[in-house]
Amino acid sequence: MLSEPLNNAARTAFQSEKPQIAWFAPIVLSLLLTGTAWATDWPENPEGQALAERIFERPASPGRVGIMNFELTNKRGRSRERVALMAHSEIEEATRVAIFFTAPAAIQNTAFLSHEYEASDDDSWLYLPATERVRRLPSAERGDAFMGTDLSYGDIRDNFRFPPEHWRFRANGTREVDGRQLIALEGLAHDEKSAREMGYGRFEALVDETSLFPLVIEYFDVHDQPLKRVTVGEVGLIGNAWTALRFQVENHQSGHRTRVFFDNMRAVPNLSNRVFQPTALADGVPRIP
Amino acid sequence: MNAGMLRAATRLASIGMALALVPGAAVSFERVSQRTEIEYWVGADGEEGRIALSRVSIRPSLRLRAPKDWDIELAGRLEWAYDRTGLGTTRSYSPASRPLIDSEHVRLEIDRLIASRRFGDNRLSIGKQTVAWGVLDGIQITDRFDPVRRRDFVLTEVRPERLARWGLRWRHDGEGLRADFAVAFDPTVNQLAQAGDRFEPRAPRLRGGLSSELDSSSFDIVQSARNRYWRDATYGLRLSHSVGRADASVLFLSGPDTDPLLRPGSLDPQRPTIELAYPRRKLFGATLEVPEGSRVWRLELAHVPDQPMNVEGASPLSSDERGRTLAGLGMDWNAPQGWFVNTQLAIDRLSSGGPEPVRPQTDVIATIRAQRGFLQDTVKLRSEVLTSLSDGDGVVRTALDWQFSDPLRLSLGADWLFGSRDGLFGQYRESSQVWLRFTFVI
Repeated sequence: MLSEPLNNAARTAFQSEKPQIAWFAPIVLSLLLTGTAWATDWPENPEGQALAERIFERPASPGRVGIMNFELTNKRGRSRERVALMAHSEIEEATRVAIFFTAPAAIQNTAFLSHEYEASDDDSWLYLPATERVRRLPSAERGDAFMGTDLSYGDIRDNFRFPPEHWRFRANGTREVDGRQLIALEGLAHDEKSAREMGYGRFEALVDETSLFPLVIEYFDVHDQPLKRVTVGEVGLIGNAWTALRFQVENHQSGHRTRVFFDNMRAVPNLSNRVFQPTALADGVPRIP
Repeated sequence: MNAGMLRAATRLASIGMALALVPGAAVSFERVSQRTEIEYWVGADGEEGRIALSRVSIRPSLRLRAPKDWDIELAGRLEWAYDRTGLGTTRSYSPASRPLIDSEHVRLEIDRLIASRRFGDNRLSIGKQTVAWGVLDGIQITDRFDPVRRRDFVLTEVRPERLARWGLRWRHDGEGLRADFAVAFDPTVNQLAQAGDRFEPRAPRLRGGLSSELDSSSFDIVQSARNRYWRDATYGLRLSHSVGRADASVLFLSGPDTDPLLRPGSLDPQRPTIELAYPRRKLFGATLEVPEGSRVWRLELAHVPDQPMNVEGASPLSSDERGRTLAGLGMDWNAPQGWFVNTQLAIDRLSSGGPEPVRPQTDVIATIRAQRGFLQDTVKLRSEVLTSLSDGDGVVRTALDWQFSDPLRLSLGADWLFGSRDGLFGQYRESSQVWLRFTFVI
């Protein structure tokens, strides 16, 4: 397991980057004003590209199951909690996620399923007990909020990776956080279209080299304004795949915050396909041996 | 099985449900979920007298894991109303499905009582359950297995409001062809508004051609016998398969129609009687669901070769059978800025020839709905228009939901009905309403 809250340390680490942000701002602004190109002067480097590739190719889990806890906090500090059983599988080119809500009572038995493919649009389904029918959902934009949380559908899909089709990369040395050396990785959206699709124009991340997990990610919107900070508090090895067991997403612009943590996360390599069939959503929380 | 035995069985089942709902009684079961929804719905229209809508509903539900891989689902409904909307008819229920408490102002019903078990790719469900087929929202093209509640017309949060029936269902959910067979040995057909209530049918098309000026208090309405469990069983089979990323299905069902056919009953000139009959009809249907980026397209087709209906004739309440073809196209769209838009168009056409039906030869219904969540989805705005393009009437509905806390939701809305008194929607134009709903879920 990796060490505890990096939030304050990360804030400090990023503050040391402030001159760079300030250097960046006029360029981004001028590009937005002229609208002719997307940050053409942003120098990428091979080290950054190589690190991003290693993160992207981090071993995936063929099957894992855990109790997912969400805590949604609004800008007035008022919190709501959600509890769900989450089943997750990454096999070949498909990532399948099934979420069966168990609390609070108002959303009990609501279930969400997504099948994400590298080469085509995602498929997703929602079961609302009141309608008694599994409904196929239109593909969400990557930047759309995921079920009222501060996570986007893209965040869920990418699972703490940075898809190379959307980003250019550069490594920017190391930062010491909490007594550990983390690699600074920065990314810039390929173009404005990519940025608008993701909801992010660029990011700055601190990556743990052992797990290849970004422990802190600062996202900036398409106008280069700070948008979100993702802080991973705990990472665990589930089966042969590193998995975030506790993380937090703060939205700087709305003042909202979403904390996510998992209980009883375990590897289930032979997770039944049945769990990921749309018709299974109506049957409620599945029996998983 | 006679009605007395069924009533006794129903009561035994309800006692079982009541025991199971008491925490601790289900010691040998694992509780998967348990919730109780308490709702108060109040509304006002322009009419004087008793309040238009004032209804309290308490709906407990429970899911249990039983030994040997059985799952048990139980749900009940206790309702109290003292208003002009009423709780609806129950004479259109079979004796086995009648409420356990059935008075003018108070009802206690079993909503669901299902025992189900999975056998590999197959699932068997036995008990009081619903069978939700079809892919469109609230427009019933192929979704005609279940009877529905019509006491609130279409002004409910979820449409249709299905009525569960006693029966069994077998589903095969393999990787390729999926099959869903259901049979309901329960001749419950619908729940209509009581005579004199706000949403009592007034348009001639829904009254066998009788004028809306004819006061329903001048005749008696009786339901046809609803105790023929075998003869009036509904059965159906749906086969589904994926075609690329699309989902396609074909289905067949046969059972009593869920819309009444009005027949002359007693010929006593002092007190004529009208019988609401539900002859059997068959339906052949197909559905297709196609995702396309931020949109999902939905298509439904159905043909009923023997649709019973009232027609204009030499004597009032004449009836005939016709071919009926229904088609519907819908689209869901994840629009920019977090908006969700759903739009649908449905055509319901009768075959020509023979006496003139009391309803239009062709009905065309269009719906559009838009909704959006704000503030981490704690506030939701939704608005919809349902319109009959053939009758030139419709309803505009707008509602704002505020999830005040996890258990408490407040909803405020307005439903404006417009059109001619003889139209599908316009018949209720005096029942346009503003309403408030408190929902507490624990």
